[in-house]
This record gives sequence, structure tokens and C-alpha cells, in this order.
Amino acid sequence: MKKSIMIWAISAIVYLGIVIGAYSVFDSINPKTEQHTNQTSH
Amino acid sequence: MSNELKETNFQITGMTCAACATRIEKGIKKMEGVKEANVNLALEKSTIKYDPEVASEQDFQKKIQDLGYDVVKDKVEFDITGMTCAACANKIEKRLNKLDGVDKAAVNFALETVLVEYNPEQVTVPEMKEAINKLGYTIEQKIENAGEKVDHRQIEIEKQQGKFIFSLILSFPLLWAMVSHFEFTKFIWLPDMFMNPWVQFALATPVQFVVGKQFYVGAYKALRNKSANMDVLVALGTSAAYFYSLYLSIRSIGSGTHMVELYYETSSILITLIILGKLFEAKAKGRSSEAIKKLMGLQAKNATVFRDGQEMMIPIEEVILGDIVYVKPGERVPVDGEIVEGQSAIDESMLTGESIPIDKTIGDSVIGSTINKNGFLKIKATKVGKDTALAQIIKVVEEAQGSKAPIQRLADVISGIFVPIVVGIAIITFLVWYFFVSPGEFAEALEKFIAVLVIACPCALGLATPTSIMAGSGRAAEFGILFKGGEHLETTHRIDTIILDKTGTVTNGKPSLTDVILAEGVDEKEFLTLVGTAEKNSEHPLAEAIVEGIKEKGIELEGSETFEAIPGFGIQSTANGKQLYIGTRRLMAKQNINVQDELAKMENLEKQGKTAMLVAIEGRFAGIVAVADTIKETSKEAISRLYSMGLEVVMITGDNTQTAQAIADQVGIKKVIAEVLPEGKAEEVEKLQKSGKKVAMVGDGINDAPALATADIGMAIGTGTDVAMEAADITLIRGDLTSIADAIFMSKKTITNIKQNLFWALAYNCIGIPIAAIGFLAPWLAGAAMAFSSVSVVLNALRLQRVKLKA
Repeated sequence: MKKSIMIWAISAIVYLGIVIGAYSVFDSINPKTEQHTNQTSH
Repeated sequence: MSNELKETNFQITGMTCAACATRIEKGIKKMEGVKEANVNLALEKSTIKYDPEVASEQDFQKKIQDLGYDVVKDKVEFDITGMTCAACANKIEKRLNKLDGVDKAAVNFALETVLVEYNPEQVTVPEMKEAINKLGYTIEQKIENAGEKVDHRQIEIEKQQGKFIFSLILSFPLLWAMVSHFEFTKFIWLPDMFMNPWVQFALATPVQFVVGKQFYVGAYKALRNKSANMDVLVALGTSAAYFYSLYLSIRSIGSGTHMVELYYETSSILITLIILGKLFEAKAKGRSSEAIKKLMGLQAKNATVFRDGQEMMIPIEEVILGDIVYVKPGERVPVDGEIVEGQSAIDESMLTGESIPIDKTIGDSVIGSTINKNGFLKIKATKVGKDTALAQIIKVVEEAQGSKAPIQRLADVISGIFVPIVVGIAIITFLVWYFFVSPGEFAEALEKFIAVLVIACPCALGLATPTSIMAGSGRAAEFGILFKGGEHLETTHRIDTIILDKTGTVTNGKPSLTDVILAEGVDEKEFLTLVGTAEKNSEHPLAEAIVEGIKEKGIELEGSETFEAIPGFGIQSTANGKQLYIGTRRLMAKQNINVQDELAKMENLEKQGKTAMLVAIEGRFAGIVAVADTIKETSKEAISRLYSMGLEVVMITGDNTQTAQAIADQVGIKKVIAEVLPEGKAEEVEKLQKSGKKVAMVGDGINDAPALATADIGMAIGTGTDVAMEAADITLIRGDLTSIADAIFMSKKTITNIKQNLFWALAYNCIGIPIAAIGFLAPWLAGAAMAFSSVSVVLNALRLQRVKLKA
């Protein structure tokens, strides 16, 4: 795979990891309750 | 406006659909001094014909940039030797800046370098080097740049690939979340975090503004210039989904267990699919110019030349006229030239289709890119660079691929007005849903609005014709059929009548002397000497055959004192103090020379398919010479194929009726028009056109020029020389008549392909818009369908690259 494509792919994976990591940390600090908003997709 | 028009080409970046191409074309056409402007979306290239006294290349560049696009420029750095002071640097800078295509040249006197920014379509590195060498300095491309050629299309493909992968990775969790909530997929496990609106927001935002930035930029540029293109549709559609979702996410903060319906996945998946469509398009565009790449691949990269007493290998671009080039057995001939030493067999099949290598010796010409089979040759370069036969062929194919067929202009007009109409329909759809169908349901109305915008994207319509023209003309070139323009590719399939010239078209055009009949009391040697001397000045193939035949009998010939060719009649000449007339019955009748008793002999020869010429010396009949031209091996089969295609075939010739009929009978042609003067051929073409026929004229392009120009399609048959290419609409390089049927076949295939593409492109839009407006099309599905429509159009066009000719 070309270098530029690798950079895009790795950036996406790293960013996804950061989002998941941040949510996990946030979730452990503020555990989910029934009152919490959830989202439905259609 | 001056009479001298110049032509310039630019490679343009930033075009996303036909509306962009149309906008650039219109913008440039409005400029003063512009005679013609053509922008090809598939090639990403513009061709402009203009008056250099009124407009300049810099003006066009600026206009293109003002419209929101950019011109591809390359940069190159050279080392300079020979400069002694700042004045030298100035001189070099000025000279380079004056070259067409050079945007900026900046000399660094201290470092002895020059950096040049230039348009690669207009000027090449060797041309810059030549210009400076002529001033007395030497410039050499810097080593790290040497040999590199920036492929802008490949860079664009890689960029789109990277964006697609980025977008796909971040959209995947959103897609997962969407899919797991359908009724029939509720069993699919989904991590809770992907249902969180802020996680979705975090994933969708980079897709919207990093990957999707190109649509916002494109939309802004279009709207700034008071027009609309596909970027406007995509930016509007995805922004509606994204910002509405953001609004709902903010509103839901602290609202407890309220379930929020969001559309982040709509905007992200849309962008992902549209980028995927663009990626396929870019790749397919690269593949459809494969024909050009194949032709370019035929060229040798280096040449061995003998200069200054030594042999050296140089890049082919540095070969100059007059260079002595060495070609070893097995090597490609680098440039067009004339053999000055050696003999060999040359494989010309890649250009002429002739499968048997041709024997060549001193004095024979060779074409660049052909293969030297078995002998060592020294060749004097007679044509280099852009003037070689191969370069001319590439130029014709490129121009054909870049030119617009009439059917394409229609598609461009539709594309130009389509987008504003679609935005209007989308707004109406939203209002109808919001006020009447589902009153107050903003989200539902918004969904329909987005779906209409996305499904109506006209990119497939814009690609439909140019990709087919590119693929069709490229494939035809592989078969040795060069269409000079897209419009000829469109017209050729409508032909119903073919007019064939005789000599050189139906026949080989290499007649040979077959008979010499003398009048009583005439000395054979004197007769042959006088006839040969008289005919030596004529360029007619029949005259050449007579001269060759006489020389073979060991008779030496000198030049005649006077010579006059009388087209359609023969020649008048004075040789060795004696006046001669050589030609037709009409010539003799005109000169009141009695040949009544000889006509039977003449007719007898003509019935055998020979061309007989009466010879009168000093006002008296002296004898008859006859030449016969052999019919091309493939002529009979080719003509039979033309008849089986439902075409009418006519042979036209200046030759006498009997000879013409004999040849026609041998090849199966049912209609013959004989004894036609050169200007009469064009009149015959016109007569047929007036009777409602669509006429193609096939000739060698030189003395048939008026007829070729008058016909609906002119086809030059031969080796693709400059003259033939200039006169005709199509050049049939392989020289045999089967190419005529092949050209019509390729035209039919290409037009069918274009119509299929246009049908599908319009069908997607016309069927998709009402379906989306009614509510049967989810936005993400609309995005997939739209991407698929572009891809399917391009893939359909690429099928032309696999077309096989009918046996």
C-alpha cells in the first residue's frame, strides 16, 4: 500500500481508537443510568 | 483578429462533473480573442484556439483559476554552465519566459541554476534545453529530477483512495449502528457506545469536514461564479443531515430518556460512497487512456547516435535532424529516418498491421518504433520529436479523444441546467412532505430532501459520452483506425454509400509495365527511350511503372526538354528533340492523331484489366504501352463484407471504363464511375449526397482531397503520412479495405455504447428523483445508487476496450 494511503488509514484507526478510549474513560467516570439519553438510528 | 491563430492546451484540476467543464468552456469562450474552446472532463484537458495578439496563455490560466479551478504546472530545475555575469542570467530568464508554456523561469546566478514552472502540455524539457543551447549556454536537468515524470492523475487516485479508506473506517461504526436497527437485523450485537450521539458526532465530523471538504470548496467556487454543480448537491445534502443531527444532539442534552433520531450515518455513508464513485471514475479515466499509453510504449527510450567522432547513447528526446543513428538487430528504430548504411528486414506490424517484415536497404525510409529484425543499420534522422509518424498518430488519437461529438454537447447543456432544477425539486419535495404528507415531521421531510439531492447528481450524464469516445477511439487506434474527431466517430455509422478510388485503394497502387506494342516501322529501343524519358518527369504511379519497366530492360534515361501533365488525358513532352503525346483516346482525338486502327488492340488489353496508353511521336501513332496494377489481396473479401453490411459500393477512377470494369468485376464491385477527372470525383460525391445518401470517400488523400473533403466522411488509406491525415476525417493506417468495415463497425459500437450510457445516466436520475420524492429511497441508498451510476457508466464504456473486430 502506498505511503499516503497508509497515513490516511492509520490516522483513521488512531482517531477511532481515541474516540473509543475517550468514551470508555468518560463512561467509567459517569456510569450509565436509565436516565441517560440513547440514540436510535432509523 | 489576426489571421494567425494559436492553439494551447491545459491540464485542469478540480473539475467534478460536466457542469464544471461547461462552465470553464463558456468562461473561456467569452474571452476576447478566443476562436474555439473545448474542455474534456474525462481527459481533464482544455484545448483553446486564439489570437495571440489579443489573448495570452497567462490570461487563460488566470480565467481558469478565477472560475475556481487550477492548471497543472510542472516544475523543473536545471544546472547552467557558461554564465559569466548577471546579464547572462537575464538573457536566459528572458528566453525561457518567452517560450510558449513557460509560466515562470527564475535564474539563480550564484548557484548557477534555473527553476522553471511550466505547462507540460505546451513545452517539454528538451525544448527548453534546445532554446538555451542556441544562446550558447548549456543547461542540464538536476540529477534528482532527471527522468521523473509527475503523473498527476495517479496522485489524484492515491489521494481519493486514502480519503475513501479514512471515511470507510470512521463510517463503519455508524453503518453498523444503522444496520442493527432494522426490524430484520435486531439480532446483531452492537456496542452501546456507537449509539451515543456524541460518539457518532465525533466519528462523523472528520468525515464531513476533512474528507467532505472538497465538496464544500467546489460548491463555494461554483456558487461564487453563479452556477451550480454536483458539489452543491452533495454539500447541501450531507450538510442537511449532519447539522440537523447536531441540532438534535444538542437539544437532547439533559432531556432524560428521550429517544433521538439522528442522521450522522446518512452524511458519513453518503460521503464515503461518493468518494468511492469518484475513485472508480479516476481509475477508469486512467484506463480509458490506455490506448495512448500503449502507443507511447511503442517508442524507444534511447538512441545510439554517432556525433563528434564517437558513438553515444542519448535519450530519444535529444536526437536532432540529421543525426546518424545506429540500430542494432532486435532494437526499435528510435526516430523516422532514411537508411544510409546496411540492410535489414523491418517489422512494421505495430503501425501498419503488415505481419511480414519488409526488406529495407540504403535509401529506404524507416518509421520510428518499428523493429529492426536482423541487420545492423545506420539511419539518418529525418523526423524527430513531434514530427515522427508515431507522434502524429498519438496526436490524432489524443485530439479525437478530446473532441466533442455532437451528442455530447447535448449532454453538457442538460448537465448545466440540471442542478438548479434539482435543487428546486428537492425544496418542493421538502415543502410537500412537511406541510401536506407528514405535516410537522421535519425529519421525514428532510430525509426526502436529501435523497432527491443525492440521487439527482448528474455526474454520470457528464461522463457518459467522453468515456465512450475515449475508449472507442483508443480501441480503434489499436486496429489502425484513427478517427480525427469525436464527431467523425458519431457520423461514420450513418454511412450508406462507400466510394472507393481505384489506384492505391482497391489496387496496390504499384503497377508494372506488362505490354509494349509497336506501330509498324518503329524501332523498339528508340521508342522505349523516348517514352521513358518523357514519363520520367511524371509523378503518376502509372508513369513510374513505365519508367521502371523500361529501366529493367537496360535502357538509360535522361531528362526531357519539356513536360506537361494534362490531368485526365495524359502527358505532352519533348524528349531528344521529338514531341510526344502519351495518354488516352481523348488525348489523341484532341491532337487529331489517327489511332482508329489501334483501338481494338487497346480494348483487348483493357479487357484484361490493364491500363493501356497510346503513344504518338511527332504527331503520328507510334505504339501502345500497358501497365497492370495488382488488386490487394483483401479487396474482394472487404468489398463483400461492405455489401453484407447493407452498404452500396461504388468505384471511381480516372482510368478508362473497360479497365475499371475489369477490376471491378474481379473484386465484386457492381457500380463503376470511370474516366472521371480529379475535380469530377468531388462532383460525383455531391450527386450521391443530393440523392439523399450518406457518402464515405476512400482514397489516398493526396489527389483525392476535394472528394475527401466533400464526402460526409473522408477516409485516407495508407501509411498515415502527414498529407493523408490532413485531408481525411479518418486514417486507415493498415492500408487494406477491411479497415473500412472495421471503422464503421467501431463507430456503431461506440455510438451504441454512448446511447446505453446516456440512457442509464438519465434513467437513474429520472426514475430516481420521483422515487426519492415519494419516499421510497433512503438517503444512503440514493448515495449508493448515484455512485453506482457513475461507475456503471464508466465500466460500460470500458467494455469498448475489449471489442473484437468481426472476422
